[in-house]
Amino acid sequence: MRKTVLIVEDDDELRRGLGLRLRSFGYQVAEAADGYAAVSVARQLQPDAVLLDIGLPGGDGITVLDRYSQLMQLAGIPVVVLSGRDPFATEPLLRKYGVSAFLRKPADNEELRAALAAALELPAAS
Amino acid sequence: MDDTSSFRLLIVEDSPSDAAMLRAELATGPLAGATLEQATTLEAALDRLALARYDAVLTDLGLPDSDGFDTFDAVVEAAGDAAVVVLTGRDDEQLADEAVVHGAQDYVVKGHRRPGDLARAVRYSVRRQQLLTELRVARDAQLAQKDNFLSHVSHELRCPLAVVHQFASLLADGIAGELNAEQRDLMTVLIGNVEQLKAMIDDLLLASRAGSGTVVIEPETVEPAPLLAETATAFGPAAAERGLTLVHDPYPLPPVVADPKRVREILINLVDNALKFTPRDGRVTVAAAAEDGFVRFVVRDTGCGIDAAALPHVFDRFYQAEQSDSISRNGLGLGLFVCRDLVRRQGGELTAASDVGTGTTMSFTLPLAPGHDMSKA
Repeated sequence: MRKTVLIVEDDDELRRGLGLRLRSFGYQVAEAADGYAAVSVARQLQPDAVLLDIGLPGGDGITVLDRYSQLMQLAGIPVVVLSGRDPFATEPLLRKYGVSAFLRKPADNEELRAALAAALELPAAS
Repeated sequence: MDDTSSFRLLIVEDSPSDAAMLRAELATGPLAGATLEQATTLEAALDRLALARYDAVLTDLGLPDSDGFDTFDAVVEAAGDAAVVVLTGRDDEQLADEAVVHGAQDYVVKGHRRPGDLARAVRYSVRRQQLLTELRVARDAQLAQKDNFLSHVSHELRCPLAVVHQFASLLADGIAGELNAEQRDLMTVLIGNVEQLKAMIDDLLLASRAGSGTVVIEPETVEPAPLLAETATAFGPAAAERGLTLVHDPYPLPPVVADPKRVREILINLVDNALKFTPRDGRVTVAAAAEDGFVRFVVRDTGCGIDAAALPHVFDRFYQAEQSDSISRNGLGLGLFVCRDLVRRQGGELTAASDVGTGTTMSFTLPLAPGHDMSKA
């Protein structure tokens, strides 16, 4: 049974590229382009993991994480953050939400694969 | 010039007659309305400087509880933005001269002054000190602005770069269809350049942070062996691709105090360099051993080496080696500069040894965690 990853990214082109990449890793992919969709789609779909951008309209990634943590059905979902922001600035905040990994854009595809596998507790090698 | 009648002056002088003469001299002329306070010991002077703000401090260097440069250094440090004017006897002019070089704005010689000399020295000293303060404030503001700008630029560039990188790699990996040989070739060049852009953007951010000391180091007790193993594993494919042997000797090691994220970054940087500068069939070794109070990490290569003239400069900001593989990432030449800073801030030192044609050894130390001595390694 293939795992589902929800990609939360407001840049349409990047979201499309990441979707293709994650499908090539063997995942099923769902998409959200803003903070509100990140929560409503997650609620509906219960993805196995979330790939989350921080800079989002309609509720940035941090408020999304906050909302996930408040909702019982979403609080346990592993999240990998993929952001253009400086990790040194946001990492302490993200650790508070138990983020599984923090990747910097542009992400190395192997790192992305490994981070998702680890988040889903799957063997890392393809 | 500023309203000198509102000046606040602190006189640090233990001789009552000298102090009286100072007050008399200042009582007429432009500083007549200034507020004068007096301290007769260094301790009292430091108390006053801590508790109130002054425009100028007139200080003798010989006090009951301190003498000469000790007095001077203590006063200058405590004075903050106040101008320091040294009061000196005729025999002490050389000392006073040195004081000016080290932070005093001026000195006045006791007993040999024309009327008005003292007031003028004080007024101009205050003005010059104010200019210094203005410069410092402006410089700090500019540095902050520069850091913010670089951080902003680095962030903005990442987003389109992420799209370029992902789409190029999707094509290169055949995910949108098989490529012919020529297409694969073109894609390799494309991706190589994207990697280089990425390296430069990463360095842009480092450039802003390295100077301003805003990199956060969060030390903890770290096991070095897994970090080394991780680095060796991560670079396995890259080494194989370049026809290089990556050797890692997994000895048990005592724990160190360090920030594991920074140690990872340092190791990645050093191994990346080693791979970059070592020709095919060469060897890169990653190892570590406990020493007196430290664990020493070593990344050794059998590459082209660094010549003796360049070796002292490898840690300079923006240093770029002249020969490097065109396929690999060049960045802006900040890697070793930042690595050394990171190592130092964790209590260690990063050094380089090299012989042209034989290879280079980069080595850095990190302090052992307390309670673990060398004999347990």
